[in-house]
Amino acid sequence: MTADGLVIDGLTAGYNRVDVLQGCTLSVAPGEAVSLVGPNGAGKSTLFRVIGGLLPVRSGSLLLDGHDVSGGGAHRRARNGIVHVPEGRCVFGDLDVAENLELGSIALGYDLRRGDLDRVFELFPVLAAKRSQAAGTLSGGEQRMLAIARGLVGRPRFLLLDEPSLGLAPLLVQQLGEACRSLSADGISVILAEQNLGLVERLGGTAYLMTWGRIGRGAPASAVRTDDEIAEAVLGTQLTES
Amino acid sequence: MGALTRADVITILIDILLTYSISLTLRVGLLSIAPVAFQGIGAYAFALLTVKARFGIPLSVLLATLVCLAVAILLSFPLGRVRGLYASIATLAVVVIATGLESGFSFTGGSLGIAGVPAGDTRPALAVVVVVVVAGWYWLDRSELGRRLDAIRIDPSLSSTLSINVGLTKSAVLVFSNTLAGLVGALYAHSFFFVSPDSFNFFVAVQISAFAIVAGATHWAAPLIAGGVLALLSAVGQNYANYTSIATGVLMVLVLVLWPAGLGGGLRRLTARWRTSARGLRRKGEAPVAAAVDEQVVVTRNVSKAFGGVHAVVDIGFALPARGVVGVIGPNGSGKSTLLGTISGLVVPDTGTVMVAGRDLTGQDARTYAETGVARTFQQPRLIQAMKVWENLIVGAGEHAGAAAVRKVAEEVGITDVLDAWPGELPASVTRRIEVARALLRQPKVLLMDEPAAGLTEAEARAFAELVTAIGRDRLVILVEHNMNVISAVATRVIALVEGRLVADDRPEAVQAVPTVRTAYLGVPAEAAS
Repeated sequence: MTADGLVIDGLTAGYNRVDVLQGCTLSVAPGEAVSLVGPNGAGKSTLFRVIGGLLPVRSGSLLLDGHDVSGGGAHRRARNGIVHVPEGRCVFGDLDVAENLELGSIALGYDLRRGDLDRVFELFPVLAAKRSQAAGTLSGGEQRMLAIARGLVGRPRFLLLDEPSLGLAPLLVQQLGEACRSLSADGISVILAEQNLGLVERLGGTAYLMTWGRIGRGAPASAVRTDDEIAEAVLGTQLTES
Repeated sequence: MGALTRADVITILIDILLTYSISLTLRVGLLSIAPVAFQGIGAYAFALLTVKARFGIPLSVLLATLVCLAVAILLSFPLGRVRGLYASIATLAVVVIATGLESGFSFTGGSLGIAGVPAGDTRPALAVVVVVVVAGWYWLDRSELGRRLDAIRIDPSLSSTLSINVGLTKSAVLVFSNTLAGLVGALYAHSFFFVSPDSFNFFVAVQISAFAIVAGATHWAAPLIAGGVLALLSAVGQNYANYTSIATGVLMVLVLVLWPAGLGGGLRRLTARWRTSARGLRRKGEAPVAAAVDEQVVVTRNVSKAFGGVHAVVDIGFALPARGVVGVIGPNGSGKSTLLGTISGLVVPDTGTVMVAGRDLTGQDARTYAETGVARTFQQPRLIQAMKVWENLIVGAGEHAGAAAVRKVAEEVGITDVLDAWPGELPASVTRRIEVARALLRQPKVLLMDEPAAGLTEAEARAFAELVTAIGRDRLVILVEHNMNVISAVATRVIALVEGRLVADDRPEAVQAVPTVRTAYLGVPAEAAS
């Protein structure tokens, strides 16, 4: 097995005695765009935590370009080019915007280049305007943008975005979708966990339905609203609220 | 190992009580070392009262404790204003000052202390105090008060929006903890023939606070076990000093590695399974009724707020009716959360007035807003992970939190099945509903919701929208939301903010047609506008 890219096979992981992931199988080629959709609690964030190195693999394999990377923590994964932008805000509130971005480039040995910054500032102009403001004083949505921008300056090969649309205004979600699409065109694999189907459609590539700790069948992202199985789980042809 | 002497037993009992004193302050998120100083104040007061004033022993114990109560109340004003680590350092300063005063004056005997204090066997008295304190803590762990203390430790600003008086509660805890230590001090002085400043110095303070940190804040038995075992080791250790101090150190490190929240955290985890279920709710308490309503329940005039020169909101004014759902939309950083903050008291506006239910609340704290009838949910659900769902519901709800009320609200919101679950086990669609239930239980006149549909699937968002509509029949709901499908489905009126200014205030369709809203917020073409 020397396939390029990220290959996950039969992965299980979880918290305490519970296996949240019950055998996940997924492969992501360089530059491929992949979205995971499905109900809350299906294990999307848990899978990202495992790929990002925050949670250990219990069984199964996690291969990067054919090499087993399941040992080692999050810092190793970051050096391997896997960058995980967790759900929520996760910024250093006392540091200013520019310092937060600088920390995003630690994996590159602090080599934050002009071009990297220009790119994220073009995507999120508000961050350029507030570059010397403490991150903790930004609004919730702006902190989200900063967390995503910090992931981008790490020059990932694989970018894991956990619900990036959370708290972003519709206009920004559109722009984020365009940006992810162009990253993917540049050869960066973007892996998205999202409830916002508009963003999934904008990113393109393949969407997989994730339920109960397993990754199901894939469908083209443009078909998420029309694929019977996915539409039932995500759009709710019938209401399944408890 | 020989039998323990009387002095050993007394020391162990005293250390247990001091561990409880400090552990109680940990419970509200403080680490006060002041109990060791108050042990000294109580001991000196007792010595002076018996030796110099020749008062009787029971009277002297009582008076010494009252002296400590008075000093503790005076000190609670400055100590209550300091936060976090600085509060611990401030209490350390109290220890240093007390030691200085004890050794600095001739009437306290200088560094030699006071000898000839009438001594007696205090073991029975100390044992009684230990039993009372342990029983009190056992009750505290199961009481509404204990839940309030936990809420203050875990999330002070959430607590104040639940109308818990955080400052006063912390001060009261400090006063109680210090007074208990004062009583212990008086009994200490009565146990031995003399008191000297060395017994209450910095090193003793560090030792006892280490006991308390090992014990943690969250279980009634933990200070008894941790304080008891560690004090026993230190008493035995006087003969084998090296070995026991090494053993003590290893034990402390082991406990803290196993259970970072201390022994209490570990015990709580072990006993979590048996933790009281929702059946433990008090019987009394009426089912919530629709709040009494005024014509215009929320009125703001010229509200402005800047953070460090950045204008978050500028000159906002509106009057909102007592029923219905009002949506608030706007780009990120346009001031929506700041605006909600001014209506819930978490943000004090620089200029302008905020009136709720006919009362001018400008400049009041979040607790006053909560008491006037404002409840809120947060962008990221703020539930207390260490409490079961039903406990989260009733934190700070006071007299509204009877079993009937909880059941009715849980049914209304659709969370009846998860009352006995832990919030961490539940998906976002359910935790959002729990936050709503917690807010409704307070029978609010105004419910503020900050992006409640974020992270929900479209199906969940639709079901949530139905809930919001139902809630808005009896009260005002102010809904900040980016999901335009939800806004269109529930709001009868929408306020749009751009760069802190109110740019539109109208029916949803009309607001979505405003050019500024389309370009700055929805993006052109406005695909989500349906």
